[in-house]
Amino acid sequence: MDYLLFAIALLLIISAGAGATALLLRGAYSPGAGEFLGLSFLLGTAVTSTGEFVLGLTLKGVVLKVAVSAICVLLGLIAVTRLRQSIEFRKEHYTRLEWLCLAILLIQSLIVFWVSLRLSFAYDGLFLWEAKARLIFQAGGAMPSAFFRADPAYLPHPNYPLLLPFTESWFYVFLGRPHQGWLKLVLPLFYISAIGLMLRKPQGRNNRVYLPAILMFFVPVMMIRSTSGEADFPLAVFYLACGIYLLEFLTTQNYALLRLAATFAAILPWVKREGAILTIVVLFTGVIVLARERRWRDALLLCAPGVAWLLIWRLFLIVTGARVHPEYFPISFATISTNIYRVPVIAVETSKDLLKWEKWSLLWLVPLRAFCSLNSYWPWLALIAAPIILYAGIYVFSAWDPFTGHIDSSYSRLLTHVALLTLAGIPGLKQKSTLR
Amino acid sequence: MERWFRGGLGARQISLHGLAALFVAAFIGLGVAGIERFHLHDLLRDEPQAALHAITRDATNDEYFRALLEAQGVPRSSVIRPTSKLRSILSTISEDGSLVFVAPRSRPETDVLYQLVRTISLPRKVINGYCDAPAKTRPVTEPVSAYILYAINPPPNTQNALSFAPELSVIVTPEVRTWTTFCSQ
Repeated sequence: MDYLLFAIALLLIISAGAGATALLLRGAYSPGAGEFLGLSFLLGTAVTSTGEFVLGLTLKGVVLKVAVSAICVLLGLIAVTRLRQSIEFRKEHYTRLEWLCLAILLIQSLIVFWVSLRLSFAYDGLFLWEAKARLIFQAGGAMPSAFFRADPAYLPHPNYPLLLPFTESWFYVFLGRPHQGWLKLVLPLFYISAIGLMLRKPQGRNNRVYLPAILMFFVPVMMIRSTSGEADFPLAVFYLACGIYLLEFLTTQNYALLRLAATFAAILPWVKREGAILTIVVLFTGVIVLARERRWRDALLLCAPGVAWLLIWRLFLIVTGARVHPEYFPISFATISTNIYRVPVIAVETSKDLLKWEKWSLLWLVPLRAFCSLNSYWPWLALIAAPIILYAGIYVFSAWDPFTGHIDSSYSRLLTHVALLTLAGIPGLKQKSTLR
Repeated sequence: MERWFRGGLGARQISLHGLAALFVAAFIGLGVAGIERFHLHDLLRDEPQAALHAITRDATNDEYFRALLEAQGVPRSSVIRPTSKLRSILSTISEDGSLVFVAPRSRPETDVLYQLVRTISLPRKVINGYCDAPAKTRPVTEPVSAYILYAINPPPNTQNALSFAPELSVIVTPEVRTWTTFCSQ
């Protein structure tokens, strides 16, 4: 019976995501099958988690479950109608080399599923994210409002976003109980989605699109991060989606891609707190490019959803009186002048992390090579470099004592956020512009 | 590839292809070496018993209990479904009061065990009481419905001591007013 309930929960997510994808594409862009499934899963988690969160403010229990399920079914019907009417999937005719690459990817995916089943969640995956999923489940599928005002000593980080806990609790609600074993099958779906996104072929047939997807497996921390239950890998997949569609829009002017990029930019802060930084980086990069061409309307379309969600979420936290666990000093000139001595230490410590081949293999040579080639596509480099620098800069405000402990415990995880978009740039390294 | 054999590539292009192939080979080689450091292949040794444990309802919680207690010399095989046992004990206890987790702070695994018990007990509130650092514990002002002891023997005459794992027990004793009374056991 659990198999069936798990399958229904997953199908509803994909159904919701397929509808959302169809609505955003409006027939103006034809995704590959893998890409469409990846988009459907990612947008599906966003739709169901947001639906549970918003409707959960007034509903709970069976009524909430039925209401969100109805939205998923409705979106699924829209997907079927639109797909039949307008979206044409690319006809895929695979060469022998492509079949080989697909076989390698299949084996790699199976290994990731096996590792996920065999390993336990990481500390944050268990005590931060899955704990919230349990709380939501026990409250009938809605996050109790008292949670946001709870003492962070007993319920940690009540101000953190909730895409992952709501997605996990979605399965718990269908299974009728929290079940960590089944959850281990959900987490690798983000890895599969990343593969789907990386296999998109924006400029016709090109075997090199398989390379990033295959190399993702050989970035050692990816295997661990994608199965740890932490929000970092899902955030990396959402950032990958946001980045690739923004960059492709900037060169193709296809508005379906702008809608996708803008939507994913709005979802980033809903996955993890650092997603707000990534949203700002995406919007800033996009606006600079668009402003140079005086495309103000496009800039507005790009920014509107992300800015709106950032404001709504911030307002919600203020209204609910969400308590903040003090990990940082206030961002002020006084803090900067007091902690300016940290900058060289931070530079050294974070650089050490980037150079750890046992974690990253040669991943960070990719942006370095692009940077040195002088003719690389700078928006892609900006989307990679800006978060790396901003994340390092945050430690100037760290309230940890010693602050180097904060770097040791978190910087490597934060780098995961840009790792997939970095990999996605590999096929473009030999071209004039990366990721075009 | 055909162009290679036809000699259609210039020396510069061939060297670029060579460098790209070298980069990919090095990427994969270092990646494999890095993955080996996680000792994932060790997981194959204790298949399929461990694989069955890994997909149970409380797979991660139970594995945390086993790993943390194993570090204190407790055999893994003696830690049997601790999460399920704790949950069933808690279901018999009044939800009116908080729980207090009493343990020696000096043990390295204490904090993670506290987090584990706190998570399993949600939405109940679990307060941590550290015997060797009582000053680090917040004053317990609310009613307490039960005490969870780690590495502390229950008082000799305790009627309601329920063990859910080696060295871990729950005590429902409304007459006990301060958690520090357990520390002298």
